[in-house]
Amino acid sequence: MALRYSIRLSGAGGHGLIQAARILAEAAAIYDNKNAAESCSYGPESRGNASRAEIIISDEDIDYPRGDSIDLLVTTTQEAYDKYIGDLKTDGIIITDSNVATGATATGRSVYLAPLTEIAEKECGRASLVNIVALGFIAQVCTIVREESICHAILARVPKMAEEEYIKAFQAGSKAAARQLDGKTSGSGK
Amino acid sequence: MKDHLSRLTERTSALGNYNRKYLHIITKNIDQLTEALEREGKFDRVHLWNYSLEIPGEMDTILECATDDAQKLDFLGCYYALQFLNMNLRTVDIVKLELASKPRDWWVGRRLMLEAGRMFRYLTKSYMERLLEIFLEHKPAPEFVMLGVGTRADQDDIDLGIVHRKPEDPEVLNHVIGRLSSEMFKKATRLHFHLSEHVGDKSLTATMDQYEEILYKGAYNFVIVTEMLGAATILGSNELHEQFRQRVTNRFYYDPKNRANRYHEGYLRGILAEIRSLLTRLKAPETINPKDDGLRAIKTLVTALKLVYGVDKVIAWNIIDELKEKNPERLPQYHDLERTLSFFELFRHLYQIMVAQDEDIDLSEPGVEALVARIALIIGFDKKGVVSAKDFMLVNYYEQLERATDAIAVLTGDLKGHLHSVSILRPIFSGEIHKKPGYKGNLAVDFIRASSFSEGITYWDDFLEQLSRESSGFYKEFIESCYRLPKRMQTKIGRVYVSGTRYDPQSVLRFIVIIGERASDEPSRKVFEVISNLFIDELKHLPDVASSLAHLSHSSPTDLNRFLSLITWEALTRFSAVALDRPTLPGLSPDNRQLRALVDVHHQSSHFFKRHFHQILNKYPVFIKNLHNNDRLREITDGFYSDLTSLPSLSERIERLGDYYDLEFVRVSLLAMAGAGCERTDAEFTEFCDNYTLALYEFCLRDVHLSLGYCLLTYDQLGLYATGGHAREQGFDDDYDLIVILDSEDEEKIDYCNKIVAKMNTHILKRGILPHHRFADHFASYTVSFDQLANHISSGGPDVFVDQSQLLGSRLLVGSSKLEQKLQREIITPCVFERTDLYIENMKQEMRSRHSREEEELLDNIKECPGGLRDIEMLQLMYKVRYRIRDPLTRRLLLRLIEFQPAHAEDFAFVESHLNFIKNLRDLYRLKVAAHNVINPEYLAPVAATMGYGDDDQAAEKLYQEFLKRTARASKVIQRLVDDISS
Repeated sequence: MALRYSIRLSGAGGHGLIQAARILAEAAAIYDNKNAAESCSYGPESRGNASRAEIIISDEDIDYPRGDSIDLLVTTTQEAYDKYIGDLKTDGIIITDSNVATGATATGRSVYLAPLTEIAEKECGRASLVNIVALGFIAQVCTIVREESICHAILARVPKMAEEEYIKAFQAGSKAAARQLDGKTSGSGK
Repeated sequence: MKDHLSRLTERTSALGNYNRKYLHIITKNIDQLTEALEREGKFDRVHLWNYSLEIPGEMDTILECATDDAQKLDFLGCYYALQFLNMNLRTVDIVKLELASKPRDWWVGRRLMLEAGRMFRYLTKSYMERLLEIFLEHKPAPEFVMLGVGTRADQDDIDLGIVHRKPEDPEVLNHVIGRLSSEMFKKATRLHFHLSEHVGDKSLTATMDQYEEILYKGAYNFVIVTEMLGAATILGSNELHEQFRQRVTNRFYYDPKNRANRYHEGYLRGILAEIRSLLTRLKAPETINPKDDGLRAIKTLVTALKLVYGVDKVIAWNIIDELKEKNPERLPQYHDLERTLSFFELFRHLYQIMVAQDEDIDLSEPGVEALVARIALIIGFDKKGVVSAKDFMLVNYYEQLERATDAIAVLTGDLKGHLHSVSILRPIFSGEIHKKPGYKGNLAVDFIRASSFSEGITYWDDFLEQLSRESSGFYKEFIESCYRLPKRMQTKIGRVYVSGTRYDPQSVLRFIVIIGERASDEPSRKVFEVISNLFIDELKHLPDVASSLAHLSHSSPTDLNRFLSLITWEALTRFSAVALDRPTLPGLSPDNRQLRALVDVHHQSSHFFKRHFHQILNKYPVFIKNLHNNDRLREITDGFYSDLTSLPSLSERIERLGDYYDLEFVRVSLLAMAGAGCERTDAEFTEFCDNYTLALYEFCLRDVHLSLGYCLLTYDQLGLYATGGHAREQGFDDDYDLIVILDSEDEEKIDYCNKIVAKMNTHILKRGILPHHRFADHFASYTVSFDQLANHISSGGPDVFVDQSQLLGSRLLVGSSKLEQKLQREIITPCVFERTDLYIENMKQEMRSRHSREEEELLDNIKECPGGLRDIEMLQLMYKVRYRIRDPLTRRLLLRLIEFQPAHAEDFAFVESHLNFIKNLRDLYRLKVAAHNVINPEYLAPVAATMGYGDDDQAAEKLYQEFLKRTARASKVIQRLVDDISS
């Protein structure tokens, strides 16, 4: 069956989600040779401090870059979570910053509460790297795009001399996800 | 070939990392491409390693060499990547060359940017045309037009709007354009279909009917319209584009023949609010963002103006050229816009080519500063003396921004004037509708109906102006119409009024503040309550309320302060919870310390403090903006004080001096409430209070001099003394005890002096402090002559020791040391120091009598309780007399007494620390709870939190118990010290 995977990143403006979406789409399209399309919110919606970006990754042609059913939802604010949780497939994956309360709406889905901002601030030294930390987390949780490709795409987006800092942030997100995945695996083993 | 590729790779290393994508594509395909070109004998017909002026022809040549569609796509992608890099390298070279001979010439910048846009469009258009041909598989294309709706030179993405003719066409078009988009995403430049996404229906393209439909429904916004108005054909049917203009976009132009320019008005309202929010947005300290700082505002303004003046150009520079001709009055403003536009666009373009495709340029990011410095050099900013090229450029950046902002202010003023004159809402504002006999409508509802233009429209200055105008009757009618509505409807309508909070909280806040400030009866108070509560509810639903409110406190500090003063305690508590207690993303939200400080001030302060706060803050928004930064507040108030004498009139100086006092009061109070401790706050309070009194005396003296026409006084004869708390260098008292002594019996001089003091009293009273003249009752005059005072103090009457104490505790504020020495020599020494035993005995008796009072609240009275402030003051006075010390009654005196009574060192040290404790407790209680001396343990929680007792349920009780324990111990210690005085 043809692959069509839909990811939505949503939260508040300034969290770098649109940049993260572009990186992910570029990683899939340029370095993984898949088809990818990305769309994001503009207009008064984005002026109202909300931010949404969507990526579709497919091995077939993509006629329209937005989908109703999402496979992976990443949210950094409660409002975004509440707004988009209904669009997530019943077996979809949720990654949210730890400040978001998921509750019963998440039932049935794989939920990852990730201290993304905390990691960016404490381990990487800059909160604005939260989007790159999120990419590291995504790379582990959903293996639709290769880690190596995401790293290539990240490097293609950052200023020279800041490369090391970004890769460190990516790895920090990746490690945090690995820890949660280990926990889930050992949990299910019991 | 390797040599060429290595050279290109090397040259590309000077560009930003995103160019790696193109190198990646070239590396993958260059060998096959060159091989194919050589095989077909067409190698010399194609420029691979230089920028080509014949791109379409060369693309066709390449296509002829490919064996199948897959190879065609690879070859074309490779050629695109080569030309893309050649183009960017060429741009940098040309900028260097041109601006080397004419540094910082923004006319050259304009030309270069227009050329950069042309080159990029030429390359992308040629590429897209050929891709479409491939994806259409040689079938005829349905009639469509692909419109470029963004900035032509932007390489991050290409913003597109696609219009097709026949409703049955989208399936094939979607498929083809979807493939085009994927291919361009992989090998060239991302396409962005915002316009068609907005139209919806899961299609990348839309018919004109669909565009028109969303306009009729009002389901569009000004951002979409701006894009449509800036549309230029990239490829496809020009005829279709022309029809699109006629049917869709022309309606946004002003038509003087049309009475209701509804679309035009809706768009202008959106733009005016957008420009305001862009100009007042909170900027991150380490970041510049040419797009958000200036470009977006300039471009949206220019687009709005083109609709007013009927300009049909789409590129900002070309629009400005035509506006200069059509509106020559504003030529200087257009020049300023043009210059900033050229500089910002060029700088942004070079940054995106050479560093990263980010709009935010974070100078704190590793390496970015050095890269920005390189761009500065390229565009002609050389190092100047001690100023680096980068700093030189950044200064220029902000200067240009300021100039553009001024021009924008003038031009948006014109735009507002135009809007108000053509508005379809004029009949509502003028009363033409609701003042008509027999009007049965509802103004609040009618206004909503008439003003529902489109999504995100938030410019309502004309409405707000009507609402705040005293004489129009609009406010009254509006309030009554809201109040008349059934409760459910009231809430529904109220929600519509606050719904703009998400896009422009400033205007909504202004609206609420106008309603609240003019509320004088039950209906208006009720409407205010409903609307303000709905506003707080609306805030809850913002995606990042902390950021939105941080912006609001930055852009509308006065309105936010007014709003917080007007709402009820319950609403304030709700607001505080919404604004401050919700989880935010630390470090990502803008600095909200200013907001926090403002909310805390309202939520956790007493009326005693608020009295000063309200009096002054709305007058000085800069003060509200810096509530969290006491050092900055100090700089502001110092500036106020230093600047007093530069004001032209005496009345202005006195008014400003009063403001200085109030601002300093607020500043030092904030310091105290932040837990700075009374040692520091008392010193700072005393300093500003002394400054105030000294300057006030000077100004009042001058005032009396001017009004009487002569001057009688010399400093040698006059002594203005502080006594009571202020003399003890103690802050936050309710009253201001003063003694005015004149070393003269001359009635005229005493009268002259009284006139000065009377004027001083008037101004001190305006500060909410009661001036209290200790001897005024006794002598029926503010001013007491030296001899009168000497007679009174030496009289030995039963209560004279109280007045002796006042003198003993006094501190000279205005006057000469000559008078002070005479006072010491002729009154204090003979009348008090030489009658030590009697004075001490009187004091002891007073103390005993106070302690024996059977008042229920005595133990909770910080001032009067055994071991309280009064006891400490009396202890100090007794020891002063005992050891003939003239020092003020401060903590320093207690420590000095250890020199005289080393055996009691521990006791004095304890009293000193106890004084600190109860003084802190008293100050914080006055500032956070109430200006009472009797403390209520139930209200101690905010005081306990500041004093380090934590913020749990037990903190207040812990503090209260500590107070009781300490005062009980202090009482014993003081008693011991008092007992030992006589021995």
